Amino acid sequence: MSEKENKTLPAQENADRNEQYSLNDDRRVKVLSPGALVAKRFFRNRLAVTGMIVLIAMFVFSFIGGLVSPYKQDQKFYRTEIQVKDYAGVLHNEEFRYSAAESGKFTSAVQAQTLLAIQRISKSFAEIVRSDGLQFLPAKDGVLNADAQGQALMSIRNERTEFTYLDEVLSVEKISDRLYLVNNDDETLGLFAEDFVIAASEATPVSFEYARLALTAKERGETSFSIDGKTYTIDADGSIKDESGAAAAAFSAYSISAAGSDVVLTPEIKDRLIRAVEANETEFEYENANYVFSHSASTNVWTVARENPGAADNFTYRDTEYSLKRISRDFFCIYTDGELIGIAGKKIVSGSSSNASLPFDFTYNALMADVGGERSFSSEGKSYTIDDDGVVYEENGEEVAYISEYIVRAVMGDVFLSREFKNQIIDAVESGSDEFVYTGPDGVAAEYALEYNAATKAWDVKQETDTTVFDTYAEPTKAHPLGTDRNGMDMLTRLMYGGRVSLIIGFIVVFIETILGVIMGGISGYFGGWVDNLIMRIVDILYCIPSMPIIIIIGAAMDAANLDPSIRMLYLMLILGILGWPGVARLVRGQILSLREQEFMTATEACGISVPRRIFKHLIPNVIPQLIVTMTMGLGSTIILEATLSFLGLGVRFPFASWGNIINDVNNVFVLTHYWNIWIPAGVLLLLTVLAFNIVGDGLRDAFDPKMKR
Amino acid sequence: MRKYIVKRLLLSVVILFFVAFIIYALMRCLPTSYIESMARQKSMQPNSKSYEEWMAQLTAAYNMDKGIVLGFFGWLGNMLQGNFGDSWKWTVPVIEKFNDTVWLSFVMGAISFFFELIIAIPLGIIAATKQYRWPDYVISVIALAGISLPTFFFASLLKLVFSVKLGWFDLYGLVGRNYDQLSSVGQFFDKAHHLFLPIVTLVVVSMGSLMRYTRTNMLEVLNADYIRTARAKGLSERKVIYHHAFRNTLIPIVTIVGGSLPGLFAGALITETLFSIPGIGFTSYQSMVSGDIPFSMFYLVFFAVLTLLGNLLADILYGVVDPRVRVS
Repeated sequence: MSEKENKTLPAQENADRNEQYSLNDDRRVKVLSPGALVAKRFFRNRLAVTGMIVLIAMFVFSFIGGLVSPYKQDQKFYRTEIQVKDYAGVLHNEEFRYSAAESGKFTSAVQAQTLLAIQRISKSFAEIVRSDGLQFLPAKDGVLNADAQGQALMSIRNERTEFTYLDEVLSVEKISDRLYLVNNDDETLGLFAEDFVIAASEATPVSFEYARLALTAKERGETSFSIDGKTYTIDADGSIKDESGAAAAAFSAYSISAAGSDVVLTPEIKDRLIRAVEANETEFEYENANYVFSHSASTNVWTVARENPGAADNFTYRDTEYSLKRISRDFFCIYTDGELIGIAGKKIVSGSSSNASLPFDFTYNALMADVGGERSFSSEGKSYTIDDDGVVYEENGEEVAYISEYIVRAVMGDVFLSREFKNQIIDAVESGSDEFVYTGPDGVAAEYALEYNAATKAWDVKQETDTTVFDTYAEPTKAHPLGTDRNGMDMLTRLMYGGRVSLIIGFIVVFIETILGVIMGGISGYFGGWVDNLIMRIVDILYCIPSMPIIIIIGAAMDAANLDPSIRMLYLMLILGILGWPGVARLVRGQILSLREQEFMTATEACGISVPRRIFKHLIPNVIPQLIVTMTMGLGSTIILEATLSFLGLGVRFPFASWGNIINDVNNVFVLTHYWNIWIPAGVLLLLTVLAFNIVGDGLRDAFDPKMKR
Repeated sequence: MRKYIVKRLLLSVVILFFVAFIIYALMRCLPTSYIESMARQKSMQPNSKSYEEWMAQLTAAYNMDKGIVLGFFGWLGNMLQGNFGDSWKWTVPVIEKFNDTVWLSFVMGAISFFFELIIAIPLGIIAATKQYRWPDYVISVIALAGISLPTFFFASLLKLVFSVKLGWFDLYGLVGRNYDQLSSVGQFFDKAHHLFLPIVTLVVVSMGSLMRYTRTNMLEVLNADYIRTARAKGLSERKVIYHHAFRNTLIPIVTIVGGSLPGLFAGALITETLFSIPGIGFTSYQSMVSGDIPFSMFYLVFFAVLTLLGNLLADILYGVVDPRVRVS
């Protein structure tokens, strides 16, 4: 549009002038609306855009992910597990049990006297254990119970060097195939060895430390070791000699323990006992007493009883004389004045049907027949037969009772153990096998394991069954990319729903905060005077209340009140909102104080616009940029606060998921150490979301307020 | 100035009165109280009085039989005479328990505050001087990550890495198992060893905001006219930044640092609870959860006093440090 053209084309001049004043699209200076300007500045900031993308991803993950996920938030998953349940217990009866005749003279006081008399005649003397494998020797009495020993043995068998028992990590140190030490952090708790160390005389008892050093030296092929400043040498034949050459101890495959504190085991008698065991003797005489052996194949223990044939077989109690008649080692009859008043025996006669009580005469005759090896007896005019398993039949072939030295009982009260099952257990116990299969009357075979418990001297019968349990803490698989949590719920789905809860709570709390803050701050800033003073003092007070402790107290109170989890969530949002508005109110008031002095406010006043309209239409919109920034940042901090509360167990409750209460599982140290897939993803999502909110808030602040840019 | 301080102090007293009342009312309104659970426990014992009788006796014994308003004034009267009562949970005078625990928290807070300062301020200044270059982005993201990091998650991560995987630190507690067998020097180092992770947590979680504050203020100062003048005079960039700009940035920083000094006594509730450090934060957490009114009241009012004191200190310091600001 040059001047020359204007002159040469005067006719067009007027039109051109008009055109100069009219704003055509191509002439117009490109001016963006303030909103577009802010958006442009915002999108130029790469960090902020990244934050925005992360936020969008989180929203998609939480809100759409929950819809897409094949599982529901509280859908539980199960798995079947072979569980070994205690099913029955078998006790080998080693105590005398009494049956009294109907005369009633065999009172419990007399029973006690009878036991004393029996013990004079025959008394258990010692127990001999032959080591057929690893035997446990504790460092102190009572350390490592049977359970822990079992675990240690398992570790040895599986060649593991560590196992955990009751939260304590114990290590198994292998010296050789024949010697293992069990240690905790500080000391050796016990050892498993195939040999025992036996003191040569009572003057030199064998301490645990001594045994440990001696065994270690032997297993390592060394010929000497020293303890307490003394050196001991080990012979080729396994005896240990001290410096003077006297025998101090010996290695032996046998361990002998006294049956009672009043039994004295001299080295000579020990020697004699071992010789007897090795020669398979069942009885020998030594210093006016008979020693009788009984061997249990299943536990590999010999029990030695000492019998004194010369002892008196009668006793007097309360001026009545009682006489004892020994039928066998384990069976005695008690008479007074020639009348049979009771029997004491280790075998038990029990009725086949639970409600039948057996008459004394029946019991007596049955046991007498059993001891005598007879197959039939008669009682009260009826005759009975006994079969190989000790079952007593009536003439018509009906089973009435059985005789056994074992007590078999079911662990659970509602389980009935059939006669065949009991027989099978006892067969297994007697043959020393540790498992058997029993086919029940319904034709279903189940496997049972037998385990001898040395502490209770009983066998536990365990049944292996398939049980359905919650699939807790499952490893990540294709079906559950992040595994499952402690309730057997899919972790990924929980994370999605958790994100939903965390974000919704954040938004609602910030919304409440902002509404309250804008109203109070707007009123306060616009009116000033006493209204301002009052509102600001309320703000001061609320500001001064320590919010975290107060929320904790209220959370504990809601715990105590056992609120419904969804109502609880509502209260939580209200409380967080009410405690959070003073910050917003201060911001709004400060802005309005400066804005209301500006000309445009005078103009609104001159136009006669109503007060609420002036506040909410003209003042507040000018505060909105700051508000948006504060709200965005506030979302982040609210989400952290909610997560912290849920982590402490005072916020969102099961069955609702929130990122905080998912991480709450970390309070269980086992989860902290082993199941990172439970808590790390939730933490990372939480961190990313809050970080993204903060970055976006920062970016918005820069975009709204370009002054800060140099 | 004096008039201003006196006015602020009087106002603080009024605020404190209302804060204390609100807290007291809240604590009294809790649906389940320590007294109830104690009465329930006592009435469970054989040959005991009924629950109602115990309840009546214990409420009277704990001075809880009055209404909320009367009870509050009773508490206030006692407190003004220096009598803070006995803690229910800890069964010692509140002041004694407070004295036992607050110093540990103070030491922990002071150490972490010191580290916070020497890390956050230099980084904030570097970020401002290198605005929109990579150091600024890195530092900004670190600062924002510090702010966004939930304390409990960071503490759990630290525990996983340093306590579980590396085994350098214990998971919980202030003292080790063999603390009693150690010499006094050993005991000191044992405690220091156990405080390491909590202090790292505190520093990382709280340094972000100070870093950003420093950066923002430094940026504002760098935009000021006197900086342009200093540059125009031909001063070296070093001198401009560390002589002219930094000193002016110190004004808001000193204010905020002064204002947060009283807060060092408040303890770190979450961190102490996570690491089972028996400081004032953990102790008061346990008291609050079990409904121990005397101790919680004392702690919360103490907390409020610290907040007011911090604000007052910040305002006064602002006037002292910056001679341009004179309070009317």
